Amino acid sequence: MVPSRVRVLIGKPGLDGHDRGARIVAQVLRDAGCEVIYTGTQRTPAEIASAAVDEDVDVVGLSILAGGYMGLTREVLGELAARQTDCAVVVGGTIPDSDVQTLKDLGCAAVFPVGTPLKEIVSWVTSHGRAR
Amino acid sequence: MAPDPPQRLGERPEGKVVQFSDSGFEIAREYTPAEAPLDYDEHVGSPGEFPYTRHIRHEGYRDRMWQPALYSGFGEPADANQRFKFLLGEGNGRVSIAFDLPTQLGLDSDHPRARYEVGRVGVAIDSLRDFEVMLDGIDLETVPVTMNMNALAPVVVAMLASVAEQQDVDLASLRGTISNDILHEISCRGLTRWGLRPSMCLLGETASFVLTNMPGFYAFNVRAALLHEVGANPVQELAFAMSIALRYLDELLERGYGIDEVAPRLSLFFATSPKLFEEAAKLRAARRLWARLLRDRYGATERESLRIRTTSVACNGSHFVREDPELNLVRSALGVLASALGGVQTMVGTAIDEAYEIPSDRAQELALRVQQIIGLESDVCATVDPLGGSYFIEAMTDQIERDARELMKKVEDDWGGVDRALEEERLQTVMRDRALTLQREIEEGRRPIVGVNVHRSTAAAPPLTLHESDPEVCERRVQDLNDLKSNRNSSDVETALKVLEEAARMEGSALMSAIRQAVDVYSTIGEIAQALSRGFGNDRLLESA
Repeated sequence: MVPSRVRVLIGKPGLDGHDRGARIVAQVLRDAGCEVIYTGTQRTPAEIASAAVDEDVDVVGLSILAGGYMGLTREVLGELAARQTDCAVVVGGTIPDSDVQTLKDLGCAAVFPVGTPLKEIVSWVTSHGRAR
Repeated sequence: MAPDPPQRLGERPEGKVVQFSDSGFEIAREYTPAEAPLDYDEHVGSPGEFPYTRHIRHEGYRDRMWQPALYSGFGEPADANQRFKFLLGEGNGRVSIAFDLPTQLGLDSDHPRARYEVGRVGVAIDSLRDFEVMLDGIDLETVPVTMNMNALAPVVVAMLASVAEQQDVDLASLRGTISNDILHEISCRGLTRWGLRPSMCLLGETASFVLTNMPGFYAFNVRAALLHEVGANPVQELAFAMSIALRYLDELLERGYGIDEVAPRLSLFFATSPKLFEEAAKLRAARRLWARLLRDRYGATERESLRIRTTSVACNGSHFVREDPELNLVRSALGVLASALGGVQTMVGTAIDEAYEIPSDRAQELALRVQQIIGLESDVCATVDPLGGSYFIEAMTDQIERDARELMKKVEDDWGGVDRALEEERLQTVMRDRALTLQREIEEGRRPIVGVNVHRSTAAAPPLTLHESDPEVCERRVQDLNDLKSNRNSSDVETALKVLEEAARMEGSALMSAIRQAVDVYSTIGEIAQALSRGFGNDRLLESA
């Protein structure tokens, strides 16, 4: 049986428009065989969650550089829960080490602060496809 | 192309060594007079003389060092005021304002989309009253003010003008800059509120007001540095920034201005990386390219039109890594050196904690000290353009100018001009592709970053003391907003916003005065933006929600 490709949504919640990192991660995941949808910048948590459900993704990756990661992640998790989806949520961006565990406690499956090697992100994501 | 695998310092590479510039051309083992230009007057020129390759000023830095121009802003207006004063006391030459994301997009601090973003990466400004507090005790007669604002540029210009008037400062005495660079928002930063046409309308209105009323103020500061941050190499950064700059000149010429009215009021803001020689060459090429373009395309003859003022960021934040952040101070030094050797007029400085948080006061203090040490303790200011005449520098300056011209031609001839190229994401694709290439080079160890992929430190580094953002800021801002709304004359506000909406509908020259009026009766930035959206019949931020 051919394993199905891992489906990933990369989203940028909040107002920030800097998406160099998000685009790089999206491309690298594509190169690794994932199907990746990038939402573009300035999406609301509700929009990201709706897209995740519509696209039936396995993983939602949030890119947050402007400091609002705690609140925005919490909202995305809430919106996903309201839509009863079981996709994993991971967060990347300008996140101090001291907040990594708190994000995990909120429900993030993994946190990738600035400087995380792409290899590590790819390895994590490609091993988190759901059974279909 | 990437250079051969980087060696640990002191190791010998195998085989022939090939070196490439970041711009993509090969760097020779040695440079001789054969690679350098032969006609000094035509090609290089004296400092302060056409084509201004060496410096825009005859004296260079000998009588006046470049001006440190660190930018800052966070939290409430009073917080920003405090940091501005701290930096001025430490040697910063001006107030350069970082506005928070809601402000930059025309959202009030109580807007649902502003949640988690209020005062986070810049100061939260909701009204003229906030501007007054933010600039309290800062003498606008003597302190230049740079405002990093694009989509909402006319609003902050209006606010600054009103605060100046309150301080009894003649608008004609104001010095500073409004970045007013909406095309770089479209290509790099994404902070646009309206579509291209209304945005260019506001850009034109802002520039017109500045040109007419604030002769000491720059109407544009084209942010080439942000093109670099998206992924542009030095040639791409120069070419695309120049294309955008000329687009703004054309916009104003179409409005009836003469080239000599506009050109002197536009400045360029460049990136620097640790590749100091290539960056210095890029800055020299920028001055020469501008001078020649203004002369050849626009027929400019006035000195003030031909010599372009440049700012740089020393060095760009994308080079400041999370690992071993103390080392970022060395990268600062290389960026400052690159900028000084490139002859810029003002320098922004990145702080060592760039990858962690907005800068602490100590980190900004350090950034200033780097500029001061290089300016005062080294001999970089002792003569104008110390690198001039170096075969390497002159050859690279020539190459970068040539390659930039070729790319500008591509934008015009193949991609249909700047507007269309941006709409079709041609510029964006080039920059993003390079960003990906760079990242691969770093991760595969082909581009050395000390502390990251080579020479990783093992001895314990002291932890940084980071800036702490105050979680109560948003709540206080909301209270302030409510307080403002209950104290102002709401019927004046209502009238002003109706007039503004109509002015936006007409997309005409009444816009700026309508904005000023709305600002002066303490309309909020969100109310002003909404009135503009209604008038324009366009709102790319809120319509898609």
